[in-house]
Parts: sequence; structure tokens; C-alpha cells
Amino acid sequence: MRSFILTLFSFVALCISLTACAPPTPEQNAIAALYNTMTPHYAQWREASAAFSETSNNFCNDKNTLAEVRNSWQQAMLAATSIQTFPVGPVNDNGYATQMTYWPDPKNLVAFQVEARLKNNTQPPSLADSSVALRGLTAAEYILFDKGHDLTQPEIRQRYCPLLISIGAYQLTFSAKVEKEWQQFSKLIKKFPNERYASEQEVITEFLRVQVTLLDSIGKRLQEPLKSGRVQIYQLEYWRSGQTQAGLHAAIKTDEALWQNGWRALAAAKDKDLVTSIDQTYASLLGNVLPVSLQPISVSITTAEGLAWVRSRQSELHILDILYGRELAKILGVQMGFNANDGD
Amino acid sequence: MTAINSLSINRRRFLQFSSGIGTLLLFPALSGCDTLKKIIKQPALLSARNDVNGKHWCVSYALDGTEHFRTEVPQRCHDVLHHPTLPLALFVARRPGTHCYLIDARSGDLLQTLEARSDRHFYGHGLFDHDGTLYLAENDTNEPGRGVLGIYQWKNNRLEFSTEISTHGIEPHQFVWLPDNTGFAIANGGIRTEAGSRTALNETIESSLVLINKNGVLISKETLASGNSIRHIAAASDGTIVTAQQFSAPTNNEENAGNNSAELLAIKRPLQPLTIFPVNSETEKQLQAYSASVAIHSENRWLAVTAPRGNRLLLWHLDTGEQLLDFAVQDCAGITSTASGFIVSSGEGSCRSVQQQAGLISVKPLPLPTGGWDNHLLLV
Repeated sequence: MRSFILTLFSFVALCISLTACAPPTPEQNAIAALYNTMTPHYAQWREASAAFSETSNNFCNDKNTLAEVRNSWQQAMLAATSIQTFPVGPVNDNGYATQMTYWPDPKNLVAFQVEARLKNNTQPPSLADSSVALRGLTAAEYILFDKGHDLTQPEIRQRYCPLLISIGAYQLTFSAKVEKEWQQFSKLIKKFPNERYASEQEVITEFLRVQVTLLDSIGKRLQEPLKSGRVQIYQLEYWRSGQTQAGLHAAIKTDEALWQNGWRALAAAKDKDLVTSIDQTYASLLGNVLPVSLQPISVSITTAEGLAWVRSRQSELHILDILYGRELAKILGVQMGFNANDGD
Repeated sequence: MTAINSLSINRRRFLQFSSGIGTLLLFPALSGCDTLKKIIKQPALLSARNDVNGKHWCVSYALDGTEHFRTEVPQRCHDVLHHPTLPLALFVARRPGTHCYLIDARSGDLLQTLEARSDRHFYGHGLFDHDGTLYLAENDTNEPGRGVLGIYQWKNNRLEFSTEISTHGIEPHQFVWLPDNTGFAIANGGIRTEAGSRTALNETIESSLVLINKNGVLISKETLASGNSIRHIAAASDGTIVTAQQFSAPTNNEENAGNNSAELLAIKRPLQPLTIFPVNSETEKQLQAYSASVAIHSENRWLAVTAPRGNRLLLWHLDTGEQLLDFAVQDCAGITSTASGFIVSSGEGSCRSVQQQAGLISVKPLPLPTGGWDNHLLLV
């Protein structure tokens, strides 16, 4: 009897240890890969924000040139763009994206708010208590690149510098805070159920929905200036700095990395044709959207050739949107949310 | 004395029971002791669901995940009602729908497809009276936007149109009973569309909270300063009414939302005017100016709202206004009250139960199918 109990106990212990050592599921692997793909971007964003804050200070104290501070702004913008490409977790939950950059801005609110704040003679409120339009890199872009003022002139620099320095400091604090929240978020995607997710399927569903939404959003970057039926270049993101294409490239590059590292293996196990289609579409997109271009999109889009280029990229993004939102969702058994857009 | 009271109660209960059995005998398809036991013993969660292939279903599950039925229907449904005395569920088509599906709540058999009249569309919500009379929110397609409540009588085991009363507003959406079933509180969404369309016309929203008696006589009509669309509504047992709005600016740009107070919740306490139920600005931002459903737990004095754009479930104390819970649920939409709290559904994720345990509010996932749950659900 004793030996039977011991055998039974050993068997139960073995079962428990085997369960504990069970290999991760493909979904768990994908979740970890997607998270790990994004993690370096958060560190890069914090580092780029620190550099931008420092060069803004230096520029305002004549220790860095305008070109240098513009360059550090661009690095911060590219890092922020990568995070905005896949804003799962704290960025999405807390609506942080508009504090990074403020776009679309059909009413040119950024310029209006910056100028209104500078005209006011009283002590302005802290950026944390001000409009989100003032807090982010779009407001800094206005200060650094807008042709309506010349920052090489000392009196102009004096006028804009306090706000530029405030934005740099705000972005530094903000990026460090968001990075910390991102690290805490990792706990919520490992063991289920937890306070946020009931199962790994719920994580996969949310991540895929965010990916699809953001593919749509990348497409909007190109659609926005064409919405009214005629080309409106001021509706392009980063039109002032001429960095529209660089931002677009950063977004697509991050999106493609998420595909390669996370989604691709899940899809490959179920539909190889789908994998080929998505691979080819990314290859075409990245072959056409280079990080630098001879002409800013805000210039090229006004030509027939440039417009055709934009239409082709929109078409590729639309194909990706469908491949993810319909085909990939279907094979993964993911029901995309619909209640948010019902208007009911 | 006690014995007499007990006897009289028993007699009353016996008569009620006999009357129920009598009704079941009149409707043979719905009789059966085993099923009756099941209905009494097992709470059932009823909801409309949609799947990845774009199919629409009327479903019922036990809270342990056991499927009672899953019936495919041609039109997407919105709300679901349960008949007061018979094991019947009515799934109401989403606006502007032309079907309602009367389903045997035990087997899932489709018993009747209630067709909208040629000049009306269903608008997603309805109510059963205690005698089985059905009231459905409908829109007049001859005068697009003019709201009516269609009244349907239970005759020959079918629902048949009887008459209609005005909602005294445009585009009625959800409506609830006033205390003692004396009349209705109606959320007139106020967004005019072309007949049979979901696309809003470029007009000012004329949303209102209307109280009428059962004959359709207007008791009161109130509006909100923001002009937001009052779409969902819940009532506490003391007659307190809460409405949940949707902000309908041309864009959801946060700056615009900030300029136009979303006024997402409003409250009408008994004999008081409709006023804003304060929501702190940070929370309001998270909701992204959109709520899906609102529910009240009268005993706990809890007010709950689902916000699928903000992916949040929020809970307040109905009387103090204190925020008690802010919980992330993806595409969070349906909510129904239970004995101890609420059950919440999601278009993307798992359903969850919300209850108070040892003085704390806990949220736990339920072993129900993941995702696809439509805007409303009901526990019977």
C-alpha cells in the first residue's frame, strides 16, 4: 500500500513538473516576440528624448547649432513613431500617443497654441497642465522648422526657447515614465488569467487589433492630405520638417519587424500562401519607402508622378490591412472588435 | 395568524404556478418538466454574437460555459429580451433592422421572425410588459427620424402588431420602464438618418430624455446642453434614471473633445431634472467620448458603464458619485446586473464578472467563448 502511495505521489509530482516545464505555445512565443521587438524602441525613445532635451538646452545657450537640435528632434521623432506603430499596453490604455506627437491637426492647432502661449504675458501653466498639442514633438517641430520665424536670430530664439526647453524636459520625463509602464506591462502578458487579460488568446486578439488599426493609421498618413479631393500638403505629418517619408519608413519598418518576429511564425503554421503575400507586400513597401528621399513628400505629392507613388503605397497598405484584419485574424480565430465603432 | 398568512401566500403562489403551467399547456412546444427545471436552476446568459466569418448568432450560455443554444440568424442583433412568463427570448435587430427573432430559450429553435412593417425599422431595443405585450423602438421611414414604440400583442402563440405610440423625439434607442411599469423613460438619440440608413444627416442632434405613460402621453422631455446623443439608459429600483451619451463631433481629436464637454453620463433622480453625472476629465478622456451600455445595481447602488473605444469598464457609486472601478476590458460593451454585481461582455475578449468580495470589488474572467459578443446581454 505504501509503495502504491509513493508511486502515485511520484506520478503526480512528475505530472506537475511536466506541466510546469511544458513548452510555450506558439501564441505565447508570438506574444513574447512582439513584446521583445518593441522593448528596445522604448529605451531608444527615452535616450533620444534625453538627447533632444540636452541639445535644446544647449541650442538655447549657444552650445549647439540649429542643425544639431533639429537632428536630435528627428531622432526623437523616429523613436516615438516606432512606438506609435504598435501602441499596445500603457500607450493605448492611457492615450499617450497624442502627447508624443499631435496629428492630424486639420486646424493648425499646434501653431495656434504655441503662438497663443508665447503672446500671453503671464506665467504659463506647466506643460503637464497644458493642451496636449503643446507637449509633444509636433509643437517642437513647429518651433524648429516653421518658416514663419527664423531661429538663427537671437531675439526669435529667446522668444521660442523657453517652450522648446519645456517640451524637451517634458518628453524626457514622459518617455521615462512610459518605458517604466511598458516594463510593468510585461507581467500582464505572461501568466493568465491576470488583472488585465483572461487568456493568451485575449492578448493575441488585442495585439492583432492594434496592428490592424495602426496599418490603417499608416495609410492615413498618406490619405489625410488627399481627403478633400485636392492635395493639401499641410495635412501631411511632419510637413514642416520634410520628414514625412522618414516617419513613414520608421513606422513600416517597425511594423515589418513585428511581422517577422511575431506574427509570421503563427501564420506560417496555418497558411503559407498568406505568409508569402504579406512578405511580398512588405518587400514592395520597404523597397519604395526609403528613409530618405530626394524630395519631401509634401513637394512630390503635388506632381502626377508623386501622386501615383502615394496611391501605390496606399494600395499596398490597404492590402496589408486586409491580409491582417481578415485573413490572419481568421486563421488565428481572432474576432476583431466591433462595438467601438458601432455608433449604437 | 402566521399559518393563515402562509396559507394565503401558498395559495397565491399556487395560483401563479397554475397560471404559468396553464400558459405552457396552451403553448405545447414550450412545456416539459426537465427544461422547466433547467430554466429555474441555471441562469442563462443571452446575447447576440458575431463570428470571424461574418455570421450572426443568437446565443445562450450557462455561466460555466455550457452552451444552451446557438442559433444563426440573417440580421445582426443588438439587445435581447426575455418573456416574463414563457421561456422565450426575443433578439432585436440592430438599427435599422427589419427582423426580430423570437427564440425558444431552451432549445434555440427560431419560433417567429417578426418582420418590420414596410414603413418602419427596428432600432435595437425593446421591452416586454408583465403580460407579454412587447414594445419595440422603431423609426418611421416616411418621416425619417420620427420615433415610435411599436406595440405587439401575444396572440395565437405569435407576436402581432397592435398599435404604436410616439417617443416624442428623433431616433429612439434604448428605453426602460418607469417604477411599477407605469410608463417609459426613452433615450431619443436625436440623430436623423435617411430611412433605413445608419449614416447621420448633417443636422444638429436633437437628443432627448422623454418620460411617457403607457398610453404615450408625454410626462417630461429634457435635453442636454452639450447636445450629445443620449443612447443608453438604465433605471434603479427607486426610479433613479441614468443615461449614457455618445459624443458626435466630426472628429475624435482630443482637442475637440476637450472643447466640447462630452457629458457622457447624466442622472435624473426621482422628481429631479436631468443633470450631468460628473466624470473626472482623465476618465472622460479614456472613454474617448463613447459609451456602449449602462447598468445599475440597485442594491449595491452601483452605476456601471462600458466604453469600447477606451476599452474600459467603469463603476461609480450611484449616490456619492465616487468612482469605484476603472478596469481595462477590450471592446467592452454588454453589461447586465446579477445578484452580486455585473457580468460584462466583450467584442474581442473574455466575459467577466464583477462582484464585491470582502469589501473589495473584484473582476474575474468567466469560462465563456472569447470575443464576438454584441452590444448588450441579459442574464435570466
